[in-house]
Amino acid sequence: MNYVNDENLYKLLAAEYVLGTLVGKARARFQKLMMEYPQVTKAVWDWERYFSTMNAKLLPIEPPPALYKKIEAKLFAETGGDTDNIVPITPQPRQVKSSSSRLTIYSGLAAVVAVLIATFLIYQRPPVSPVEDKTVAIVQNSEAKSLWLIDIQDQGIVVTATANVTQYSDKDYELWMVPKQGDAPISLGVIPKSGKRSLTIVDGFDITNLAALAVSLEPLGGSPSGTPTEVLFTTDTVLLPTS
Amino acid sequence: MDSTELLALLQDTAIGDRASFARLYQQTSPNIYAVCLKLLQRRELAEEAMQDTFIRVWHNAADYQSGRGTVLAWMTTIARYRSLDMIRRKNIRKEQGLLDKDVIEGAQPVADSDNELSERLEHCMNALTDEQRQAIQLVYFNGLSHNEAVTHIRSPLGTIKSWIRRGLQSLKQCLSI
Repeated sequence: MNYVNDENLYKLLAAEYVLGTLVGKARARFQKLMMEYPQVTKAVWDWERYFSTMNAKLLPIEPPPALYKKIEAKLFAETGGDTDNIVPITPQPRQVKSSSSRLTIYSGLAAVVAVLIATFLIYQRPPVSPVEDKTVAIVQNSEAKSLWLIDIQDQGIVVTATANVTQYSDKDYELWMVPKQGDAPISLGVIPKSGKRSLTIVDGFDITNLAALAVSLEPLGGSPSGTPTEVLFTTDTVLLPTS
Repeated sequence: MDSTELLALLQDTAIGDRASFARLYQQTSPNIYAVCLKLLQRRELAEEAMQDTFIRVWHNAADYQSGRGTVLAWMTTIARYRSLDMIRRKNIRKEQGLLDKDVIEGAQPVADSDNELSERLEHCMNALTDEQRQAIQLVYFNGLSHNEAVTHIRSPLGTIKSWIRRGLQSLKQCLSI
């Protein structure tokens, strides 16, 4: 890519990334470069080290005493599974629009499979009333094998791993929302390598602004940077109408 | 702040020592909260960013590398990016002025290992024009986009972009990045 061949340019973009003036699609594109090219990441780190010294100009402020309790509760509460690095909010209304064009290849196939599997799951359930709209997605690998079933509910996002998921002892998989406007992906949490896990709806998750879901490969515990380290899969969601 | 002590606390945090994590929070949270509050300007948002930051620190302590700066610098960078994400996601507009006197004070002591970096940056910042330096500080501390900076500096967008880019170009050369 031209950016990477132009050392002066990518180092200046790195400065704007750290400064925060690189926004929207440009920021997202630069994050992809960071994932791909170590020299770009190094330039970001160099600027971070210098600029972070400016924070010494800020007068330290004691946070509210209750804040640490909230962090502890999120980290160490007995939830029966891994904790989520997120703050719950009131669930958003659900309506799914078409996916972004850049993800059409992956999402088209996934959508068909999602309908089939999700419909199958619905028919397996005992009858309930009333039946609510469901938003689901299937994450598949390049061989079109299903890896995860994702069921987006008001109370959370239920992710079920299939036996096709590669088991890494030193890596985790993380689920991301890719916003329509090209903004940076939003972490939805670490997803299971086997079995089922419910992720809390994160602040900023809006299904009407969802271009796609993405799964990345991360160090244990999830992305250290707040951005995807290595995106492996993307998929669209499907709205199953009320029957 | 003793960066060696913070590194030891982070290393113990990485192996699941909750007491060290609590101590790390105690030592660093006022600095990190100041950054979040300055960027987000609302306490509830700053607290949300803090929770997110420390949960990430707990999960990713083992991934810290000294190449990213001191432990405090690394943690503050996580907090900055989370706050910037929130500003963009929540479409938070910056209504207040820059460099509020109640938040920004004279220089606090920096970690020993940051001294050289801090001095070099200050030297290079002082070599910029006043407009370049103020524009860079404004967007850094307040998390402003170029467009938002127009409201605060009251100069044309192109002029502000030019100050920032030329300022960064000069810093890049001066800092040998």
